[in-house]
Amino acid sequence: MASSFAAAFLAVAIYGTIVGAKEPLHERIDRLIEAQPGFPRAAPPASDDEFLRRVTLDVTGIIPSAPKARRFLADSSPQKRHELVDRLLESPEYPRHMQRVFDRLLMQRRRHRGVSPVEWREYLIDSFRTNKPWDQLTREILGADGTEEKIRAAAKFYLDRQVNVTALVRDVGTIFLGRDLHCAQCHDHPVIEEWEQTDFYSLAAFLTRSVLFTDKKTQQTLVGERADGEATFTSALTQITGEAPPRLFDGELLTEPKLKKGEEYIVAPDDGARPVPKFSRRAELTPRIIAHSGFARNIVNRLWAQLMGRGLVHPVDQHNDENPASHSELLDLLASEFVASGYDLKVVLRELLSTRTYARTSRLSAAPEGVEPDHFAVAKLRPLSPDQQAWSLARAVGRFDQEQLALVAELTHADPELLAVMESSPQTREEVLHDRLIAEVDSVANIFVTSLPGQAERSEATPDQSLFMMNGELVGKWLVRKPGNLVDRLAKLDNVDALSDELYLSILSRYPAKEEREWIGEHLKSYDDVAPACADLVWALLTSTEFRFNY
Amino acid sequence: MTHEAHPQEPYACRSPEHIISRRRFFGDIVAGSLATGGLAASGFTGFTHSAVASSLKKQAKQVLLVFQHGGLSQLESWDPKPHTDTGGPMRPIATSVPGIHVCELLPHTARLMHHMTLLRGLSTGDNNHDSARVTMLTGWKQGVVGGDNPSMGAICTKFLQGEQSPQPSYVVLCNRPQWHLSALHDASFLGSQYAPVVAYDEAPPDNLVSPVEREARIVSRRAALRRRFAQRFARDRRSARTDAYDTAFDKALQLMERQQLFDLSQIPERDHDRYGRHAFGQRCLVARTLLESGCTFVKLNHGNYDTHFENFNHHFERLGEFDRPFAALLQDIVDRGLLETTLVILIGEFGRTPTINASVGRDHWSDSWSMAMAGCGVKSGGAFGKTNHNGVEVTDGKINSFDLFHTFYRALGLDAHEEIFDGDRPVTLADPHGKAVEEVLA
Repeated sequence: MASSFAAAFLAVAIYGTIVGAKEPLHERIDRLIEAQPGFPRAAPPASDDEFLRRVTLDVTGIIPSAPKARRFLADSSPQKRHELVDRLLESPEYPRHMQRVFDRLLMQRRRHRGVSPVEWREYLIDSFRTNKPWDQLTREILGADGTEEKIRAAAKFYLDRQVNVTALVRDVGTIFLGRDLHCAQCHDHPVIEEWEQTDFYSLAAFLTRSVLFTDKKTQQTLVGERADGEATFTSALTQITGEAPPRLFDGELLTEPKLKKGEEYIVAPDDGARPVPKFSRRAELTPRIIAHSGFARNIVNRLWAQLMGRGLVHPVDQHNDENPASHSELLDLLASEFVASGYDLKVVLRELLSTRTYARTSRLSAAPEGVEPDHFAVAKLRPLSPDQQAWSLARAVGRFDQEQLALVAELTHADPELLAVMESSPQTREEVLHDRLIAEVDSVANIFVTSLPGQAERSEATPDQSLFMMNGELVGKWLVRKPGNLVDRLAKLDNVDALSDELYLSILSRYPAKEEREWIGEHLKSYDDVAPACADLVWALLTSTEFRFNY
Repeated sequence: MTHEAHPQEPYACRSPEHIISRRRFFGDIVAGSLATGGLAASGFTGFTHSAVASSLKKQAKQVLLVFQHGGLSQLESWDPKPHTDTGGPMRPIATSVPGIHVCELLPHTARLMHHMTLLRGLSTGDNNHDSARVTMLTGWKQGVVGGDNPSMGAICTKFLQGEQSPQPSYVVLCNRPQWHLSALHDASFLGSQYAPVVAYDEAPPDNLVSPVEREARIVSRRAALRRRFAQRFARDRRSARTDAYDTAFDKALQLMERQQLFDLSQIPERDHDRYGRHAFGQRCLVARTLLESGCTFVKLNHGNYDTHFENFNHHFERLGEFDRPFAALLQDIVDRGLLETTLVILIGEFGRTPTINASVGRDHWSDSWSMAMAGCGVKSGGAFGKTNHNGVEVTDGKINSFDLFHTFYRALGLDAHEEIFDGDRPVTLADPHGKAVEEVLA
């Protein structure tokens, strides 16, 4: 306890000095990117609307509302981009987005087994609301056995994988250290010399004694551990057999206490009892992971990739000698600053969002000659994640506004106190609206999921998704005029310019260009009734390439 | 083995391809038991096999896979064992092929046996529904190499469909709860472009048909607007990804344009009568339309054959439902001249125990069971492999699940050793430990 306090104190002290004395971290990042040999010429900065949409999607997972877009675009303060970043990082949508991002990263849309989705969601969102340091979150998740009521949800990582050692080794390696070892499960990695089959099994040796235990009375699942069992393997290529002692990559071998036979357990394995050994191998794993140089590098690289569209180490699960970082000094800097900050994810995010590198345009016409993806000289086009897509659709068509109206109507008499709290507390309002919309939004997100359970999230376009957008019942409902929704707002506007502005700001977070106003005018003229004409326009923008991407 | 005389049916399809390959097949497998008079009289013996084959290359190959899920009893279908301790109450009947008998529950299919090949020596070593199902759809045992493998349907779609193949190229027709490999699982690392279009129950695929009130005019007007916006964005930000997004919309529009493929009301009453108006009959009708339209791979599900209780009653019902529409479909495939280029596969997870259990049921059994196939690349009118007198072991022509997939792929002109890539990891089409069954390949 004392030592960790001292470490934290030291970290804060170091962090304070660095930031105070030297140029800000985001400046140093930009300098390292732009000083890279071969760096062409940087693309010009993103326009205000480009930046607004990008940063709002990246920090809150959803497009900005039309009023917020109007306000930001009208703001003439030179500080407005920094203020926006700060505002978004403090908004209730930030922990919500991080909860989703880290759920997809940690659980990969697996079937829920040991911990309910609601419990897990609450646990994660609380972690990001309080800005829990990444080492602490890791310690809770990898140290969990499900018995501690307050953080029982953290055991989901083990329980939903049913404490399956193969899945755990692959996912601990990939998610926390950026090393996807699964090729080394059956033989030495065929391509990456550094990763041998023993690496897989030496990591497995920490986990192979852990077992899934079901409490007969409560039917609750927990993680238990036996005091014996080794990780043995046979190479599928050479047929050589071996036994691997617990060891994390090239770290030190774990020294285990010799316990007398019959005295290995605190709780011995027995029908109906969760086995607890005196010496837990699993408990030895977490501190080794956190102390490993790959731990900080992995997460800062993931944050970089999330914001910049590509990791400094690319792909993000291939940290090894044969796949060096495009900017190794930069990755070292980010990792050391992250550790010095006390493993503070928000600090790193804020610095990355403040760079020139992040804030460049993605227009290809503005891209310099000879630009390569790992130059980071022009911003990258990224498809929206299924969650970003679904929540943004809901916001664009006015589902939040509709629910807000419905709530006011319901609560004015039924629960005026809650209504008052909602009005004064953005967090409460966010929670209430989230809970009212999540079933609908998740059903939409599922249509856009193109990764299998247990795989890293990716986003691909499929005809199913297009058919849903064209003929889906829900999309059809969104386009029918109802009080408060977008079609309703548009249908009330009687001039083409006002209608065009509201349409574009609501869906694409920008004002329409001249030619777009003309198209809208033409389209409206061809209809007698304004609401169906608006429905067509809303549909065409919701399905536009521009909406589908973060650019 | 006793050979009963059987009522000789005139072949609906007198294609030389069938007759020649049938004769060869018999020469190899059941020499001496063939009544050759009919063949000599047919007058087609002068054709050479290769001449026929080259003329058929023009048409793209197609596959019809009927997955009899739950595990069809081989004893109540392709390999009856009358008068033995395991035989049960059903009788065998003669088929259009002398010497080959099947269970009396398949009278319509029996008449088409001269188009089909039976494999009676399956020994696949997996009695678990979930894992066996995956093996029987992919040609791989899961979890050996890591990662899921694409199904045969996705692989065939990738390798057999032409550049200009119409959509849909891969369709699965099943009950909603039967859909065990989700569309994305099905294509696995090959990607969503090879994933099947799935039509549940007797309805068209989800969201394929516009809600009634929406007119076609609106669909095209909206599509035109969308295109205009998309083009504007592409001026400055076009990439492979934005193209892929637009392609998905184009594909969806193509599917919508061909939604009549799933429209059962377009099919003449007479065909509804022939196929039956129950779910499987209707599904077979849709399959026929799809194959006619050039769809590369059609998978139909039928079941449930998991008859741990009341095996005989359940098979009476299930096969009673299966036999007539399947035979009608096969006959129509033959009549339309599609059989030469269409591989028909009837398979499930496994067979059922020869031993009848206390609930008059049969349990899971993969040591000695059977399947049927027909058409493209395979001989016709024969049976390969034998089980002993009461069906508890394979005595001749034993084949495992990997051998099956090597055989299927060879029949389609593909090589199961060909590599596809899961990222950087090379994976063969089917487990390389299998070997094609040469004896049944045409």
